Amino acid sequence: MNTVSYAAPTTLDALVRMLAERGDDVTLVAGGMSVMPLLNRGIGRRDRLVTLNRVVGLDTIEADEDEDDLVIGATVTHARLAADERVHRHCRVLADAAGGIGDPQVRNRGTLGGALAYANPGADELTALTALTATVVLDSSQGTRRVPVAEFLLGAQRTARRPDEVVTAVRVPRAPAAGFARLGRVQGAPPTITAAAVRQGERLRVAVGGVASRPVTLTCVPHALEAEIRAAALHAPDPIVDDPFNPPDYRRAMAVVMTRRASRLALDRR
Amino acid sequence: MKHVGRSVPGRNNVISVAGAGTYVDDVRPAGRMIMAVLRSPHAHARIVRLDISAAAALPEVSLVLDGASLAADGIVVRPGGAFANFTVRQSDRVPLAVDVVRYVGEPVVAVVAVDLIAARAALELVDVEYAPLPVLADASAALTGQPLEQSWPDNVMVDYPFSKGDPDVVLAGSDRVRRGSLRCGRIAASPIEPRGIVASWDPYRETLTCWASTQSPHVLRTLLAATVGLSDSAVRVIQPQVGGAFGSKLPMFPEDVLATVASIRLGVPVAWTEQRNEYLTAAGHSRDVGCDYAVAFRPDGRITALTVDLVADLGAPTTVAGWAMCIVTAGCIPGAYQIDDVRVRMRGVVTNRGPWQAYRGFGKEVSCFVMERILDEVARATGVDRIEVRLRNFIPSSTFPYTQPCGWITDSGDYEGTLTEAAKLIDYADFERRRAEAREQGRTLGIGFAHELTPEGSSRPDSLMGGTDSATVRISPRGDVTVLTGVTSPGTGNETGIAQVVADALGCDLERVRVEQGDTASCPYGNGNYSSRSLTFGATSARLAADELRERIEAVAVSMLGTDAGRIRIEEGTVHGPHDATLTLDAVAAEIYRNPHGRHMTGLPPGLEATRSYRIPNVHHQPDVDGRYNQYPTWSFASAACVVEVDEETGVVRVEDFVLVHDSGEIVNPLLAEAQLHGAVLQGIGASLYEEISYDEDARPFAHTLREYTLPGARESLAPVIGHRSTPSPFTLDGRKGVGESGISAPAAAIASAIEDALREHDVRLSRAPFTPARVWAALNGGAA
Ligand SMILES: Cc1cc2nc3c(=O)[nH]c(=O)nc-3n(C[C@H](O)[C@H](O)[C@H](O)COP(=O)(O)OP(=O)(O)OC[C@H]3O[C@@H](n4cnc5c(N)ncnc54)[C@H](O)[C@@H]3O)c2cc1C
Repeated sequence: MNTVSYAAPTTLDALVRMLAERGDDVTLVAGGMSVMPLLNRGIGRRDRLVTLNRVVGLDTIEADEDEDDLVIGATVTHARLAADERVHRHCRVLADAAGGIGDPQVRNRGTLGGALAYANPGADELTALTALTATVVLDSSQGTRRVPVAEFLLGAQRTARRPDEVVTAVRVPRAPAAGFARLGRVQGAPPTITAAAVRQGERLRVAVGGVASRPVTLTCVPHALEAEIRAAALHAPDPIVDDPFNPPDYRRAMAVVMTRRASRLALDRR
Repeated sequence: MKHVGRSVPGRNNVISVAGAGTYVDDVRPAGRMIMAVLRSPHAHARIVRLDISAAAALPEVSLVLDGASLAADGIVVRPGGAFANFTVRQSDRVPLAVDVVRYVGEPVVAVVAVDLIAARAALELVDVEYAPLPVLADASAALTGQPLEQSWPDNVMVDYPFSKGDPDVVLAGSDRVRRGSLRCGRIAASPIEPRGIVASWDPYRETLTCWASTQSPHVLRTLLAATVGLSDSAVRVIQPQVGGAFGSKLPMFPEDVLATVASIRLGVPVAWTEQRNEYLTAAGHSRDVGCDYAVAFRPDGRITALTVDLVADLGAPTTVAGWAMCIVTAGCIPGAYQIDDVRVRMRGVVTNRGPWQAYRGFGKEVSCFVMERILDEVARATGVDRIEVRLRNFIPSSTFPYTQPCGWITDSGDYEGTLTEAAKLIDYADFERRRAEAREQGRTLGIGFAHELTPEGSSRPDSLMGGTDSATVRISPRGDVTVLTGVTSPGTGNETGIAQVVADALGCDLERVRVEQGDTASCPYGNGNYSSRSLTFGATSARLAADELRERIEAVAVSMLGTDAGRIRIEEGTVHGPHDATLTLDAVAAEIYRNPHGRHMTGLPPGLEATRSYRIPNVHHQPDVDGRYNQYPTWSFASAACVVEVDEETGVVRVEDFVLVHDSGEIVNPLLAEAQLHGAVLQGIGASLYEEISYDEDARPFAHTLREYTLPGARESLAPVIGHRSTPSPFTLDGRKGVGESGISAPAAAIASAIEDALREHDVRLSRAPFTPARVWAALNGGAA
């Protein structure tokens, strides 16, 4: 008979040691908003659960003055991101993305690290972090490594995280002029399309989630945007996301619409 | 003071809000074991090998059931009745698949273990090998494909045609004809509490007690007892608090039988609580109906002929009676409209989708969608206003009772009354100003209308839902009143309304009346809760019983006050006689119990308890010369008007205002009636914009959780404006008709009408519910919607 073991390490050291020993068998639990419903349905490994919630130092938000990055801990919740003043000043688009996720209960429990590690296509924060060119910080018993978000996200529910690694933080560059737009069905349903646009001088850096299995990105001048987004959405190398409510042609068209809306917001926030 | 007509808050409110209700999963008798069900992952496959030995060998597991062993024991469910007057193909079924699985979610193996984790672990050890069979993925495949049921010649389960006049001749001779196709998407009722049962066999007394999240305890008792070979009187069914039902908990499910068989075998209580992913695939769906129509009309919008050819995808054949919804869909065409030349045909076909099960609306919502879309099409073709075209075609108020083309008899109506009031409440006259204002802000608004007809009090011939119910009223020696009813409450608060009716009949305080429901051991026989019957049947039978007691109370009171009959009145628990003489009802009750041989009781029967049963006239079970009958005694109706905003870039539709003016005859409790209508409208909006059970080309379902089955949430909700009108039924005792299903039908057609109106410059047609953003967007961009 299956038994379930449950561990709640309090230090990063203890955590990475557990992962080094049994990484393949361990299921990390942060907010549990994605992983618990799956386990309840018998999907995924459930014999070794390790919660991140007691690990000291994973839920901080700190400025790194040298690199002008905001360093956001992996277990910072969506609700905190949406409300935090430093996040607003430094990279408001991430706060906007977090504030639109699910419902208050999900935002109160779900975490930035969990969203990254779960890598669901279209997830709000992933789109924002991609446009922001954020960097994922991963820790293991081997040490720390930094991976750009665009390289971290490999596909639908696939990331560059090794089984012995834990996402500990995300480093976000400063981006005051940016916009975020989302299209969803109902409260609680996964977003259909998310788009984030970040101004860089006269150019816009855009990420669109929900059209392909990971965010589609491009950088261009605003007036060239729509044609390029259309082309990028059409030629995205990853498989197109598809569900009965949102067939591929609709998703592609909406990628353009949401990009337009996000860009407009970014341009308005000069 | 009369209690009927007052907005008394529901008695169930506090316990529900406090989270203090006892639901079936909270019923945990000592020694309870847990049942889990292995379900088919295939839409259609042969079971090549089924090995349960590894599962059965687990120490935590007490029992593993499969179809072969049940069949060998003769555990077979006969289809629920109500086939009189129709030619319906049906098959007996073993509650677990035998040899073949026919839909994703069909029960294959049941395991009983010490707890849910052990039961699930055991399911993983069951070794099943399937060989896939060709799949009938939808109705059109079923019409041409091999029969799913070996003993049937084809896949048509029910073929129900009827006609009046000669529509073909009229259509051929008319130069104004429109033809089209319409579709209603498949949906699931989705109560917050899914299904569940605790079955507890007492091996010493040889009795079975079941706590079930059901709508009809007495019906479940009889069906269960018959299936497992017990006498009805050895079975007690108790309905704990139910967290929503909407028709989807009408008995009896395979899982009810499995838990019962398991409990009898093991001699311990066995509990099954459904999970949401089981619910969404296996608890039953509704709608999934398409039609082709042709309509002929005059330049003034008056419809002269109509043909509607409907095909319903009933999913895999089962023994629950959800299929009967397709009969109601056909029978309610043309519904509120008087059309002389009509032909309607409904073919219900079986496929490898999930089976149908009753859901609020019970088919009437499809008729409404079909008729209202056709009326809009006629309005468009003639240029006649959408309200006006309806007024010109309504059955005139003076012609009731009105015999529908199918033979059903509509008791009463004033359709013009609700529609014109709905137009007033939404401020139709001022809408163009509102539209223009919104336009200036870059918003696209549209207004739409629909009229729905909701026959209620379903009394189906030759079934355990034949249309009767009973109540006992019992007054104690201290004057406290207990009402025991055969109708049950799925959380609607109908006990409050029943108490109001009884308090009025007895002349007592409302607080003195307690209503008990949902226990076959204490409550008199009844069909339970469905078809808006709790007050039409439940409260009326209680009133009849109360009237009987009232007569006795009056006789005793007259004697005690030394006056004459007709010189007393009873109010709020006090009997008032001449010269300010008073007497409490409690004193009269005490007298009746304490002095049964006393002088005030001369010639009167002792005690203060009466049981009465009630059936509503205007039901005709013996077919007339044309084979027609009538199962619906009362016909509620409602008109809806709504304003929607359409995002032309995304196709997203938001309902800004929704008005529903309903007419359900006399209303016992306006507050509770409105609560019903609010919920119904929201469910209607859900099926119009958000919800759909989708299958792929291999009949695999898309939705396993509420993340995929997108019910409207708080963000999508709105408070509809409700208008009440009353055209009492001439057939029921107090003119009541039933409110429980009103409001769910009209939204789809009203919202479609409003979206088309918003996009009128684009000449968009919406023929397929739900109107998802992708469909609206496709329609706007020249695709099909
Ligand atoms: C009702 C509902 C609505 C939702 N709506 C949205 C929405 O609108 N938009 C949206 O983007 N998302 C939505 N979500 C998903 C939500 O954002 C989740 O909170 C998030 O995806 C996962 O965060 P979590 O902390 O709960 O992770 P968990 O569920 O605990 O974990 C998710 C996965 O990540 C792994 N993991 C977690 N943390 C780490 C870490 N630090 N390092 C390595 N691995 C880790 C876990 O092992 C697991 O595999 C919704 C979820 C629900 C239940």
